[in-house]
Amino acid sequence: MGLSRRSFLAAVAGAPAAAVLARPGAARGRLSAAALPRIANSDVALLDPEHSCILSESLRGFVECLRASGIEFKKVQADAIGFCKLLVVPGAIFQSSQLAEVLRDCAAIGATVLYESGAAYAAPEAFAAEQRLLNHYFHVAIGPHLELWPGSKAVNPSPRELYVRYTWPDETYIRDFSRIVLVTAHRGSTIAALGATPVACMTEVHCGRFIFLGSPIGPHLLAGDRGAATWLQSLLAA
Amino acid sequence: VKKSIGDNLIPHGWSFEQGLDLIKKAGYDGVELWLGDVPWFQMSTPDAAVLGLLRQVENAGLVVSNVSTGLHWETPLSARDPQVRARATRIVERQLETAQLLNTDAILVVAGLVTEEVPYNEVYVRCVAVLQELGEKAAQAKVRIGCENCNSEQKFLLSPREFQTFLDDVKRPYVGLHLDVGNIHDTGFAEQWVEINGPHITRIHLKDVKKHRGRCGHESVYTNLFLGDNNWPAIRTALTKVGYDGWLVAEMEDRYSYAKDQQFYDTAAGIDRFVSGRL
Repeated sequence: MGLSRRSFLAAVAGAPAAAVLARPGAARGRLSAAALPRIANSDVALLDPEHSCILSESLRGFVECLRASGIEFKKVQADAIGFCKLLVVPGAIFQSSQLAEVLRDCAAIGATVLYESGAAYAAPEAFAAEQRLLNHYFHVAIGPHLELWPGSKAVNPSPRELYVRYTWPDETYIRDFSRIVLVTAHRGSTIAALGATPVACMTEVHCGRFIFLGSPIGPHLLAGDRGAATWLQSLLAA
Repeated sequence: VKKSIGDNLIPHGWSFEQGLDLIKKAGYDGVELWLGDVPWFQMSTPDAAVLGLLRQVENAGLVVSNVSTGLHWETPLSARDPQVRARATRIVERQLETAQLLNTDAILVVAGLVTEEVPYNEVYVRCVAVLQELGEKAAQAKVRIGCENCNSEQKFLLSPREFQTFLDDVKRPYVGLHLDVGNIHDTGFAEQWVEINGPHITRIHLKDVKKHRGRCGHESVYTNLFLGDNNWPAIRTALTKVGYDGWLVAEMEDRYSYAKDQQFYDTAAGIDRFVSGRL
């Protein structure tokens, strides 16, 4: 079919309620008709994952960077996400299937969901839930998190790779964030790696896409990291 | 000006009471208590026991000059892990609480630690944010947080102008500088730190330094007063110029190998000479 993504987005933007009602699980729990998503005026929405946020400074990083870049965005809660071009989910972890379902449905109707995992800083049982739900809803398999600086002190005697190399949407280098979540399998494309180890990927979800970041960039945004800001701006333009 | 010395210098094997007796006899007015660095004052020490320490200090004819800690070297406020940061914040809160119990109005905090792992900009924003929060609590407690300049070890806030900018960014009157005149090494001059940050100085650590860059392996670059490269007349003049008349707290790293109590007497005499201006 010769329908461009842009045309499709324009079409679905007029019918978010239908899209939501059609999604599995819409009739149960918090995703009931009472919580139908509103159409956001902005192309960018920033989800405040509240209790699902492991890295609160990551949320602040995205807020500050978007503000500094003059990009309009709306801060939303999981039960009131409107249609948007880009939905950013900072420093999060799937504590239940609810958030995963919401994100999958957002992607399905055309959004790009940027999911920054905070799982490396979660307790083991929460990490296991993250593994299961990512695999179930997005076909992204993650391995155990990797501690990059075991027993780090003021001086680390062994030099090692410090930068994660992002290859999409542009080539950018952003420092690691001490712990990374390894991407072991996915159905899309690897977009970032530390050395040869994949740490981020992008998968298609019907009309949209789901981007998984296993190495947080939000804290770097808060610290004013130029590479991280450039990467986010490139993503908005992609 | 009053003289103090840290309880972490009390010779190993001595009791707190014996140490206080020595400090008094050596001529000090007060004692700096190190949370977490000595067996009698730990994070787990309950309030009642802290009040017991205060009684011992008062019975010895001393007062508590300030509450310090070395715990932030292992548990930095600038850590990436939110749980570590929470523990680090709790340490400062406990310092504030115990300072109130001990009738003193200043604590020492090592505010941030730049490492190869955690870069400068991250440390900076985290420290500003957490000190803004803690600065509010400090104001309520009426206890000043003195961020120590550990230039060489912290790799953070390396110049006096940087430190001034940092305090301006924190913008909390109860957050200032605990100046260690020995920590500056060859990255600057203590008297210039005094002049630039004078009104923000909460306490002063006194020690001398051999101005090598950083440390030389395990060999300490810190030494007793007048044995190193500090310009003591200039430091004294700068302190007079900014009107500092608070505590001078001796902090020795190199310890006497023998006659350990003698170091307390010698250091007290050195401070007296410094204060008198007969240099």
